[in-house]
Amino acid sequence: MSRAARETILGAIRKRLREARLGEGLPEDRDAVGPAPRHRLLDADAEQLLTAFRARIEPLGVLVHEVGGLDEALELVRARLRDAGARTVACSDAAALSDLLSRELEAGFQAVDPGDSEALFGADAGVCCAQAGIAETGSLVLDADRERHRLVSLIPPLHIALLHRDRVVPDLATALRDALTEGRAPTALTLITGPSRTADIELKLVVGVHGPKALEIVVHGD
Amino acid sequence: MSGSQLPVERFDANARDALGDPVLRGALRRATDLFGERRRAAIDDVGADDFEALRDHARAIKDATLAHLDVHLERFVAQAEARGAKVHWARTGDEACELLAGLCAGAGAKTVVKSKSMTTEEIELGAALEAHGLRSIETDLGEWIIQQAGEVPSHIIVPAIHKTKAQIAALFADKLGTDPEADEKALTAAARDVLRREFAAAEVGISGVNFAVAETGSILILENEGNARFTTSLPKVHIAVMGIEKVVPRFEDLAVFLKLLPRSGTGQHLTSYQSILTGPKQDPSADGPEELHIVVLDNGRSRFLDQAVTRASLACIRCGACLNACPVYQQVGGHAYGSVYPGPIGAVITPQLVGVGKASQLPYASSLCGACREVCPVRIDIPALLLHLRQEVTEGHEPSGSPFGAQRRPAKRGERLGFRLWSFGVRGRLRYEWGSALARFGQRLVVRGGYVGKVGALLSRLAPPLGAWTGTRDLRGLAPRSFRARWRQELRHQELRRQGLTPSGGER
Repeated sequence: MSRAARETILGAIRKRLREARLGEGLPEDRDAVGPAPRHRLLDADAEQLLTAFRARIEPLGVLVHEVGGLDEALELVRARLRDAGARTVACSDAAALSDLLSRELEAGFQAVDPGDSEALFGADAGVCCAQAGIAETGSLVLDADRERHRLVSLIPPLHIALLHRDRVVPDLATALRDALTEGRAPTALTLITGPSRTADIELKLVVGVHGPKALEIVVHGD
Repeated sequence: MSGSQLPVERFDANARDALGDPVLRGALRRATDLFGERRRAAIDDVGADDFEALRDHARAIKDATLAHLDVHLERFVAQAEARGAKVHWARTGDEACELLAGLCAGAGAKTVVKSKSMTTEEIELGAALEAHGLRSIETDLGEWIIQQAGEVPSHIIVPAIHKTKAQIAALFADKLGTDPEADEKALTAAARDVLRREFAAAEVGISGVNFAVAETGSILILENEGNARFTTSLPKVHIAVMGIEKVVPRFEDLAVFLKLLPRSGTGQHLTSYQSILTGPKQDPSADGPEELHIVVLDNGRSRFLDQAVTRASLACIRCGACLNACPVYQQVGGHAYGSVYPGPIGAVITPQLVGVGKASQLPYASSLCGACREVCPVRIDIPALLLHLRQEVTEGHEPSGSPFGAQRRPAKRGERLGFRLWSFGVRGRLRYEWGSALARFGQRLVVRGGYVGKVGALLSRLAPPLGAWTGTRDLRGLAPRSFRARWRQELRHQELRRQGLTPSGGER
C-alpha cells in the first residue's frame, strides 16, 4: 500500500509542479537562495559569548556557576546536590564525570544507572556534560552519540549540566554545523533552553511540567 | 480525539454562539493580547531589521523547496532510510490512520503516548487508534486537558486557550479527585504524575514533525514541556507523522526557522527543547527508540502546488501568530471555524484541504484587514489567498482533482448583478462621477445627519443584505462633495494664489 502511495504522491507533486512551470514558472532551487543574515555575535570573543549566553539563560530561572577547572566544577556539583537534598543521583557516562560519584560514601549519594529508566523516575537529580552552549539563545547542546544523557537530562527533577567555557559558540547556525560529522547528523541532538515549562492553563507560567523543574549550568575550564 | 468539531459549513452560526459566551471572549482577549505583546518584544530583541531579513530568507527557502518538492522529499526519505528509519507514505488521512494502527499493532502496543501534533489532529488519529482498541494518550498538558474534557483544540499553540483555570480545576476534581480549588501549579503537578506513569508504560510514542531535513534525514520537534522528548525517547517505537510540506533542504536551514517560529508563536526567543532526531538508536546501550517510523502524508496538500498563490499556504510553519493577530479569531475563538486549523491560516488551508464547497464560509471569516500577513513569519499573503478562495466559491472553480467539485456554491444572482453594476459604474470616469451624483441625490431619502437613518431602516427591511450590515453598525452616507471635486478646487486655488490672486467664494 505504502509503495503505491509513494508513487501516487510523488506523481501528484510532479504533475502539479509541471503545471506551475508551464504557467507562472517556478523559483530556482535552494542553491539560488542567498546566505542567511549574519549574527552579530559571530564577531564576539569568548568572554562576550559567555556574557551573552548568561544574559539569555539566567532570566529563565537557570542558575549559572562559573568555576576554574574540572575538579572545582565537580566539587561544586556535589555541593549543589547536597544543597538540593538529592540522595539518588543519575550521572551520564561522560569521562569528565567519572569521578563525580566515585567517592560515594564520602559524598553520601546513591548512584543510579543512566540507562535504567525505571530507576531514573526515582532519581532526585541528573548530571551530564553539554557538548556545546549557544550564546545567541542561551541553549545547551546535547549530542546523544557522544554521551548517554538523553534520559538523565530529562527524567529527574533537577538537571545539572557541565559546560566547558571554550565550547560556547556564537549562534544556532554554528552549533548545527558543528554537530554534523562529515555531513552526518547525530542520532539525537537536543537543545535545552531552560527548565521544562508550560503556560497551558490561563497562560500562567508553570515550571517543571514533564521534564526537569530546575536546570543549573556549571561553566568550567580544563 | 473523542471530541467532535463544530460543523465547518456553519461558521456564521458557530461564530454567533461564540460571541454570546462572555467567558470565552474574556479568555481569548487576554490570551491574544498577551501573545501579541510578547511577540513584539521578542522581535525587538533581535532587531526589527534583522527580523525582516530573517523572514525574507525563510520564505525564500520555503519557496525554493516547494518548487522542487519531489527532489527534496525523495532526498529526505533516502537519507532517513539510510539511517535506519522506516518511511511510509499515506495519500489520505484514513490511509495514514490505518497505517499507524497497523504499526502500533505490530509493536504489540496497548498504550500509545502522543505529543502535540496538528497533523495527527487533522487526520483524527486519536479516535482511529481508540477504534482499534488502543489507549491513545495526549501528553501535552493543554491537549491532555481537552482530551479529558472530550473537546477539540481551539488554538494551534495553546489548545485549551478557551478554558479557564476554574473549569480545568473542576474537570481535574471530577477525573482525578484533586482539590476543586487547586491552582495552576497543583493542576500541572497532578497531570505530571499521571502522565509520567503513561510514559513509562507506553509501547509506542507518536509525534508530529516541525521540520524534516533533506540533507541529513533528520526530523525536528519543538516544545516547552518535555512531553515530546519523553514520547520520542522512552517507548521502544517512535512514529513521526509529517505532511509533505515539512521538508527543508539543509541542516543549517533549521537555524532560520528556529529563530522565527517561537518568536512568532509564543514570543519566546526559543522554546525550552528542540529534539533533532536522525534514525533509531544504533548502539544497543544508548537511550532512545529501537524503531523509528516516519509517515509522510499528502491528504490534499499536493493539490496546492500548481499556483503560486495556493502554494504559499504550504510555507506555513504553524506558529499561530495569525490567529492571535486576527480581529475575527480574537472574538470567536478556534472552535467556530469547525476545523483543526482555525484563524486566518485555517480559513485558507481548510477549504483547500476539504474542498471550498464544504468550507465555503471560511474564506469570508475575515475583514481582509491584513494583520495576518503583517505578522506571518514567512510572509504568506493570506488576504490574497482569501480573495482567491472567495473567487473559487463564487465562480465554482474547484482545484482540479478535488473530490468535492459537486458541492460548490454558485454566486447568488443578485450578488452577481450587483457586482456587475458596480464594475460597470467604476470603470469610466464620467460614469463614476454621474453615478455618484445620482447616489448623492438619491440618498437624501435615507440619510439623516450623515448616517443612514430611520428611512434607511425601512430600506434595510426591504433589502436584507443592507440590513445585515446596518443591524450592528452605523452606515455613513456619501459626503456632500467628493474628494475629487475638493481636490480640483484645491488645485484651482493654488493656481490663483500663484498668480497673486485670493481665492474667493466659488464652490465652498
